[in-house]
Amino acid sequence: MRRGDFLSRLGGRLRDARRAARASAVGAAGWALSGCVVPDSVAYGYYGVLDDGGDEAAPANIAANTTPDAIAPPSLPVEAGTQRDARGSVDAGVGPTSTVGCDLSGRWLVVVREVTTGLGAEEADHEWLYFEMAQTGSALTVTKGLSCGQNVVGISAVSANVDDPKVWPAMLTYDVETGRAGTSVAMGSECAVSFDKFYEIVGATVSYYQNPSTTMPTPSQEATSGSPGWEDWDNDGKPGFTVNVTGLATGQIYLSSRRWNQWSGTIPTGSNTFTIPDDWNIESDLLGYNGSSLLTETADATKDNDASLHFVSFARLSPSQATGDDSATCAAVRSLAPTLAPQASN
Amino acid sequence: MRRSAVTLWALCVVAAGSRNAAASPLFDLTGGADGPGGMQPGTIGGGASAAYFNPALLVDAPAGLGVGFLTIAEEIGISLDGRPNTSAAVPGGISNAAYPNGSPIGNIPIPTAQLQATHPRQGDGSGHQAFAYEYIGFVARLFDERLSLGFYGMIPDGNFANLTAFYDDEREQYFTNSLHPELYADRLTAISIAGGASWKFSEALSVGLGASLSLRAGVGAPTFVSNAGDLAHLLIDTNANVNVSLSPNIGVSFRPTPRWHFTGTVHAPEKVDLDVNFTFLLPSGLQQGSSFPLVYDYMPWQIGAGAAYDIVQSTSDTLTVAGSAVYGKWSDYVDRHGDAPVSAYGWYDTLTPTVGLRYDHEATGCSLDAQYKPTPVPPQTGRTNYVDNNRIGFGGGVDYRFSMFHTSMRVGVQAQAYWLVPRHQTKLPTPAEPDGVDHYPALVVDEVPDTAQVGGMPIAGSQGLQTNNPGWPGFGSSGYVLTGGLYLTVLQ
Amino acid sequence: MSVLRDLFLFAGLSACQFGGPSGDPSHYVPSPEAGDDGSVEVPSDDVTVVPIEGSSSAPVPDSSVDDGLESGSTADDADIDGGCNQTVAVCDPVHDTGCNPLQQCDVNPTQTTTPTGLCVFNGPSEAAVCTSSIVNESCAPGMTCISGACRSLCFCDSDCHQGDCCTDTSGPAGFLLCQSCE
Repeated sequence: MRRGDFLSRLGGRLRDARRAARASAVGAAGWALSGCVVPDSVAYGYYGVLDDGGDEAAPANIAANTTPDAIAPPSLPVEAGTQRDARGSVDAGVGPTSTVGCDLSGRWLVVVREVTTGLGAEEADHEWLYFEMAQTGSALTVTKGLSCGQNVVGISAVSANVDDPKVWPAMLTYDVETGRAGTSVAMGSECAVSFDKFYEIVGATVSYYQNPSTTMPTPSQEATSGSPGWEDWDNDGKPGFTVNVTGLATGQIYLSSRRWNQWSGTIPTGSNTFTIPDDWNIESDLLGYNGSSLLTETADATKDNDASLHFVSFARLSPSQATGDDSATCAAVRSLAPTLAPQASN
Repeated sequence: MRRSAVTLWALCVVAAGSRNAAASPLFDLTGGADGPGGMQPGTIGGGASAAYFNPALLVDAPAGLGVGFLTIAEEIGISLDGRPNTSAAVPGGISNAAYPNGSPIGNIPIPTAQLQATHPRQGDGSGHQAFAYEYIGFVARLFDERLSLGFYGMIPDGNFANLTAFYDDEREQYFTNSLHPELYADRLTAISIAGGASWKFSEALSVGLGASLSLRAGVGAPTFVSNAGDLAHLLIDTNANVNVSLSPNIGVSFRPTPRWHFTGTVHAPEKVDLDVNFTFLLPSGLQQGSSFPLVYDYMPWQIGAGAAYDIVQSTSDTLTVAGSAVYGKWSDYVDRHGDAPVSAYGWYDTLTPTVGLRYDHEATGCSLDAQYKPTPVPPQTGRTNYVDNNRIGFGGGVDYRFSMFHTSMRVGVQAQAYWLVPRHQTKLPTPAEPDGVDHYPALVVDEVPDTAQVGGMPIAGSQGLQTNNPGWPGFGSSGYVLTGGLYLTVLQ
Repeated sequence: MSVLRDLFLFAGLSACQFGGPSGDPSHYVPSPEAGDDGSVEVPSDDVTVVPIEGSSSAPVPDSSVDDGLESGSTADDADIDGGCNQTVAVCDPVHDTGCNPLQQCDVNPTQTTTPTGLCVFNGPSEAAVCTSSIVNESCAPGMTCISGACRSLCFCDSDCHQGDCCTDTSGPAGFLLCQSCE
């Protein structure tokens, strides 16, 4: 037999033998180790309580051991002598403490929930308001309307989370909804409730830009004593108000914005808590950014087409809730919102 | 906060797929699996594996073609200490956490309870696996047998190559939430291919030069994000390239007397580099990109020396005692994410001694070795969780030479058993950092700084240390690695 | 057998480790930047996302005013030493002087060692954010465009609006920016 033939046959036999041997070798190794298995192990330990709601951003999960009174209200970096003058404290005894028929007079915690699509992700924008309302017949008037702040929480898998607490004091000062009118009319066992359209400006000269026919300021149009423009509402040296963005893009964007909303719907008579649809829109005016240019996409967030996602929740406040000066009232409103208006706080 | 980015990275790694890779941590464990080299292949030749371990010893290997198979089973247990209380648990509701000045706090940790429910600690370890390999080798003689050429390759069955990156600190919570043996696991599936040449200057002196294959792969993953809220419908292309590089090694063999034999070797570092580059494009036309390196199968500079002495030399019997030591410059180690251990936990350089016997009686030979390999990894009492142990090994083998059909052959069997000496380490406490700044970066990271806020309000449960570091508050490791195989060499 | 004994002895002595950890892992680092020669990894972002060429996002260069100030000097030092009359080459972008009436002075971004101005035309930006180039910018005189935002340049507090201070060092080399005094 020639050596080449032999080697060829040998190669074939080796292949067969190799398959069998390989399987048996792996098995042998497994058998050998079966007598000396050293498994991974984890000793018993504590991992905290599972968050059943999954509502990571809800303030209900924040400072759970902290009473609202213990939450320090944000300081007001305002200047005396301007329209940022401090206002008097809230009279906790204003109005009735429960709703009779369709009379909505009294003190209310209001949470506006509006869903936007920004950077391809859904985000819920919350604004916290404090209303004292008076009603004559069916005419409803907000006798004291405080804007207590806003935040944006991602509600889809990948979302931009936005937080801008430093602008809250300025919102409290400038975005006054006092005087906003509405109606509450009895319709059988229900009340038809509506509030007029209201324009809210953030980060720019409110008196000028509340006129919807005006064009929001450009980055070079800083407000001066003689001309309207963007204003540094959070006193950080950046135009407009600074929004910290986390999520797909991270950084800061500098914005001014003009938002309007208009509420109307029907509620059961005698409601101390109710929710009605919210029609709204917003013009975000990008004045700059710090970080990824993707942040500019966040500023272009648009209203979600699903109307059911946009609503405003009202909850009547008891005499002991949300008292004190405006700052303390708003701090309490923000703290109470997840409890009194949970649907709108998600 | 960074979860979306992490997801994108993960996508890119997925897009990268498995890169064919080559390096030699596998050789380091199996030794001379094709002959009498055993656990001292740099000192005792006899097979084509000398092409990697000491090419100068190719002159001692019989010319011919060798084939064989090998199996490795690792059984490395990692035991995590229990978390003592809930105070270190990351609370819920912190996905928007930021410092008081609004800047993000870094990688937002997963609420610990949520993490444990979905990715339980050590639920996805990698210390319990078995692998099978095939190898082939040949040795040829040229120029009146002064020049010897050798080739030695070992190819894992199943997954051709398995490159698995993991973080060695709290960042692994986003992935397996487990610890992994740093120097085993995926390193045992490295394709290992080496070639070498030896020149015999005289009967006493020969010098060899060899090289093992290393790869450098680049993967680009241009990605179109049509909807960042629906990453399941990304559009991704990939541009991959693989470059081959050679890591050299040299060896020398010197026989001053018929009984003494000295050897020396130097191996250059080896690794598999994988550069991942991705860009993502949004419908608005905005495009951004990022890149990051991954390093697999890193082997440092290794310098070896050995000596062997024939205690008995006769026409039918030879008894040889051999000893060798390999210096490994592990202080240069870089982990799978290209990070070097921090200086406070810098790795040791190690010296690995091996002693053994070789006995030949006519056509039969056998070998016996013992080895102690100190771990280069210092106790992991800080942020990192590099898992490794001191290792004691014993190996043995038998081969038999015979002739069939006028063809000389050699068949053999060999095996090694390694015991990973049990080890345990407890993490040092991280002192309080009330200003929210990480002043002890070498220690376990407080993933929820005390000053962190959500919506301008403090976070309940943020005081003190909160961590999802899977190795906190301590961990231990121990286990075994067994290797064994058969080989056949057809001699020229 | 003495050889065997010697070999075992050699092996026993040599089974050791060299080098290894250096420094105390519990060492207090005043701030992450002050870590021991950077050898201690500070927990941070893992991937640096950088703009692709052509992207409109020009990151703020690292070269801040510190580059223009000698080591050890601070923004306050600049205020004291340089005062409001700090010399700027070509033109003064803080006070918008030195250019012809048709142009305004902006910061010359190519000069990082010496504060230098550059005369440019003012033109509105069609983009949502401000823009600048070597020939024009969209910000008002006395401001410069940084990361899409118009920022007020300054040398001292008097260059800023009331309530703002000249303390922001994140601007172009050799210049400060106004920010809230808080």
